[in-house]
Amino acid sequence: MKADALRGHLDALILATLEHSPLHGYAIIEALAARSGGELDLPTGTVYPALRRLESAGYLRSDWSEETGRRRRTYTLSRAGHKQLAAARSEWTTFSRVVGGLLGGIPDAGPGFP
Amino acid sequence: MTYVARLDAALVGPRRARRDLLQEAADHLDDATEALVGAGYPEAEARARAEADFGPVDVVAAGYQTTLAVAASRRTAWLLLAALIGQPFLWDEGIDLIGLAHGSAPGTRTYAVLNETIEVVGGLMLLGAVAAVVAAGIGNRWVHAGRRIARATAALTLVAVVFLPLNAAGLLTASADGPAVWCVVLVLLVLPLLVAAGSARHTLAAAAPTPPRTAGRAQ
Repeated sequence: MKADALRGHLDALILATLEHSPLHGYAIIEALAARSGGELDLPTGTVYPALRRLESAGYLRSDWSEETGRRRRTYTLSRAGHKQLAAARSEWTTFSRVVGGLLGGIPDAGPGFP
Repeated sequence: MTYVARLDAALVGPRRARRDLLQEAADHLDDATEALVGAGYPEAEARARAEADFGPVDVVAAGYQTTLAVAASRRTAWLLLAALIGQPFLWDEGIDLIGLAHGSAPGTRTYAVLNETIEVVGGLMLLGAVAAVVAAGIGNRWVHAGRRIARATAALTLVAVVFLPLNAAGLLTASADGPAVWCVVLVLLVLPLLVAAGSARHTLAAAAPTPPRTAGRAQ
């Protein structure tokens, strides 16, 4: 799979990693790598500006906390972030069903994302 | 020079936002290095791999710089909004400082034109300040705020800083107001706008375009 295709969905992928629990930046990037099976190959430093942008948009909240003797910025999905994630999932399900139908051989590609 | 120090040297912008970004980068590199050491890599190689995975300094700095530019523009937009939002209340409706100073507005055409101009242009700039606040915040849901928006916010602020005091000075001259009114205008309009202008200057520095990446550039 082309990494560019995944990068286009980076915002939704980030929101998905935070769906069930707050995480700090490194853990988010680890989760992204694990959930994409290593296909999301981008400089990890470029994820942090995306986190800040999502925070500015009100989809995430962040707080500094002390963890294992180190200060960490932990991100939490806001209510607006949950709604946005649901919208992204719905959009992806429709997209994958349409494209799957057009390309053939995939009766129902969703809702595997993200 | 460490990776984080090189990243720091490449960034321009609000001190607190920059410090937070760099702290986060340092934490990430420490975590990644620890994980790689745990996986069996020697310490130095683990650190080098962690930095390579994080990305070349110029690539990472470009993204961070946009974050800083937007943070600076958000501050500028709030300062501009704070400087402008009370102006209609101070000068026209509500307190009506000009009315208090000279009883009634002079009937000259010059005064009427200047008064109309400051109301219309000031109103537009107030709307622009609101739009800039939204663009740097919740507006990211629809359009990603970037350096262009930051530069536009700074430009709007600088235009306001030049235009509104000049227009106000014209009004005061046309109405032959005394030094007391000039002092009130200085304190309630000019000084808040000068604070916003200082922030706009920093925003322009933070929002300057990043030079194109050159092949073989040192990381």
